[in-house]
Amino acid sequence: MTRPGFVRFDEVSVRYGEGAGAVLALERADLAFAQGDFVCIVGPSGCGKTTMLQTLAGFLRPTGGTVSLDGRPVEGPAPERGVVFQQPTLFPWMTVAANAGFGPRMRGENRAQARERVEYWLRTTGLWEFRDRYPYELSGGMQQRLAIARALCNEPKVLLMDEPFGALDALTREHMQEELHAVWRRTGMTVVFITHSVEEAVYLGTEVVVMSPRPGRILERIPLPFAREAADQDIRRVKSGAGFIAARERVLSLIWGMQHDA
Amino acid sequence: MRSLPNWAVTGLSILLVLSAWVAVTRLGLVRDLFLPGPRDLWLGLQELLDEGYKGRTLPEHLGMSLLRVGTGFLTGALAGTALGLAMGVSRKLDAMAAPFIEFLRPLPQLAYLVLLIVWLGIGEGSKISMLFLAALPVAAVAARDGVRNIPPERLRMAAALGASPRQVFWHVVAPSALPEILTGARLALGIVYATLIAAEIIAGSSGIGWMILDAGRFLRSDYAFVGILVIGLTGIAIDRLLLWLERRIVHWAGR
Amino acid sequence: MPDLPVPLPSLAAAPPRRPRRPLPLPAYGAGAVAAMLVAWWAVSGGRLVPAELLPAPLQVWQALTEVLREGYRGTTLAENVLSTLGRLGGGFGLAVLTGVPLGLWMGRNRIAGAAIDWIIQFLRPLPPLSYMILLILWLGTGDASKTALLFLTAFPIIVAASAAGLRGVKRQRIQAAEALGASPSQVFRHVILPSAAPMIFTGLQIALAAAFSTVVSAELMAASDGLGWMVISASHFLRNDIIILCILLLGLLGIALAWALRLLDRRLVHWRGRD
Repeated sequence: MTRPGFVRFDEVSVRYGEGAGAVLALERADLAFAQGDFVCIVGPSGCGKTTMLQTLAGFLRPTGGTVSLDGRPVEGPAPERGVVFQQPTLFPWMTVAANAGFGPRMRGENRAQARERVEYWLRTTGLWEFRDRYPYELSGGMQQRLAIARALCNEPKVLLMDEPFGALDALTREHMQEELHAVWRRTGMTVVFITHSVEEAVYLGTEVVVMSPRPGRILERIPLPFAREAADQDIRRVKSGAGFIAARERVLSLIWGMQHDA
Repeated sequence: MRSLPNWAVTGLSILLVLSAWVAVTRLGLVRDLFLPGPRDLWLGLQELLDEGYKGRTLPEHLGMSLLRVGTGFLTGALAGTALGLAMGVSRKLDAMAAPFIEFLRPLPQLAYLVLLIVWLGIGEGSKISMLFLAALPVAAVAARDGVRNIPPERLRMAAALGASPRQVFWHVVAPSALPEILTGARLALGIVYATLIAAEIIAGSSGIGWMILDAGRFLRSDYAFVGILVIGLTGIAIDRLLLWLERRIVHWAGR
Repeated sequence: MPDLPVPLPSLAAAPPRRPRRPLPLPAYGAGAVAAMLVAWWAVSGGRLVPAELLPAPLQVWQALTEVLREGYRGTTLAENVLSTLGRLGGGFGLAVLTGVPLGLWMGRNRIAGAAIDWIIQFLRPLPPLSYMILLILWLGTGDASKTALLFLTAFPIIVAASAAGLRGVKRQRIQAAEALGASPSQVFRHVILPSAAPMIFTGLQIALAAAFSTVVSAELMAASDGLGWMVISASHFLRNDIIILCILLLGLLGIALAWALRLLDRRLVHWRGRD
């Protein structure tokens, strides 16, 4: 099932602007990981994590190197790569169900099939009873759940998430982590996840990629066991375990050290 | 074309329109009565500046119009802002004044100018009263909404810090509403300006609006064109000036 | 006692008072309108001011019934209202049909935007009546010049609002749609257009208000029917009752137009301000 190099960044560089004012947002990033991995990218502001995600999403063309998914280079946005932003970015003129079914509808997919999948994901995310409401009638957590359901209804090969829980309150955030974790375990989906929260990264990720700023580059990759081990364990128990705390402190000290060097 | 910066495209477009104008008038494709050429306009402008039109020079006509605009706008905007602030603070007053404000706001100003002329005569009084009535509802609605849109926490915070209701009004409510008041003032001034020009055209004997109409009647379309250009440029200049003032006074707006 | 969004007195732990049921707010509005009518009645109709200058409310009412029964100088009231609305609809409709597509194009195409925007920026602050005399010179005194005037009043407002609405669409929303597999034309139809709709609709409301004001001015200046014509004609015959009647009708018509568009707005762009 797992194939190495399912997602590949080969020497990917991104430069904004030209001449003396140019900023190297990402310098020769090399990264490859397997199908089914949950890769969390952490690092201080300006380390190029969002830039990296944008090249994989196809929103941004790298100035050097190539990004590829499943052996094919990324050329632009495509439904095989689902995206979830920090803001839910829903379409406020569509109902919850229409938002979720947007992708299949745009691709002209068989209606009955699409409807079935929309129902499945809305039920999974607990939004089914709100299917005829409009996004502005939902709470912040529900809106973000809908954004995730909308991406999943497209059955993407990889799900790209840019600080998806960054705007939520702490408690909702923990619930969302747990739910996302469950979805990932159930589907075996490949996820690339950007976050500011080291704890979140260590809990969710099969691997944490630590990046450093100016210029943005990959500093270290740390494989983690908790996401696969924590099968049915309560989130608080996982996060309070000694091994978890040690791993969290290790990642934190890397980032902490970076800020003191700067 | 793709790589041209915006200002160059705009410049090219202006150049294109101007040369089309020159070409059309030079070749005599259109009678200069309908569309005077650049030369005619230049000569017309010279005449309007030197000799004037029917006893007054162009700056004098413009000055009379701007004096009316200024008087009507200042009185109307001040009264409207005071009323609007009071309406924002008191729901009862709002409920009482709203029917009149809502009635006056969409009402075409020229319709009541006719009545004002019957009451006050054709002179300055009727025009300035009309401008006053044109500015008042716009300013009032802006000030009221400005007060209504103040975040309640800000008022609670001021009260918690020990401000009396009077202090809260002068130190928190009024400055908080100021950005919307100034935006409303700019809107009101635009309406007042357009209304005055219309009033001078329909019932005037002086001012730049009247000059255009009178020149048009006597088929001096060169004067009419110069007048329209002056009105347009003056309108833009006034708006820019107010925008500049607004940015200086409420530098915190939108931040 | 000021009632700000936060009632200030409640902050100052005032001693409890016996609660008294307050009058509902609409009662204050109705009371104010009634007081105005009484004041009007008290000063008008020769009591303080000569009846020729300010007719009493009852006289205006009689003028209404008279106009409804006999018409005004060979025209019925309905005809005049309809010809005003017809002119308004013609010029405004034309401006919507051409202005929205042009604005959308300018918002999408940088070159078109830069080439046309200066014309719109010059037209927008220009008082419409100022170029009425030219339109009459070009198109005659008939309805063509008035339609053109109303068109030119509404057109720059609509174009500017449509272009701004299109430019204001959030990039991330477009990216979200692209990532879900929408083609460029689908993104335009299903995401960009609805995102720009609230601002376009705001532009339409402003444009209609401006056109309404202009149509009456144009009718005052040169027309042989319409409410504006009725006002100016009545002034020639010193029929102040008719003038006041027309002003009241125009005010109500203006409120009705604004209200109708707002209702439409609430139905069509129900997500306004909530995304």
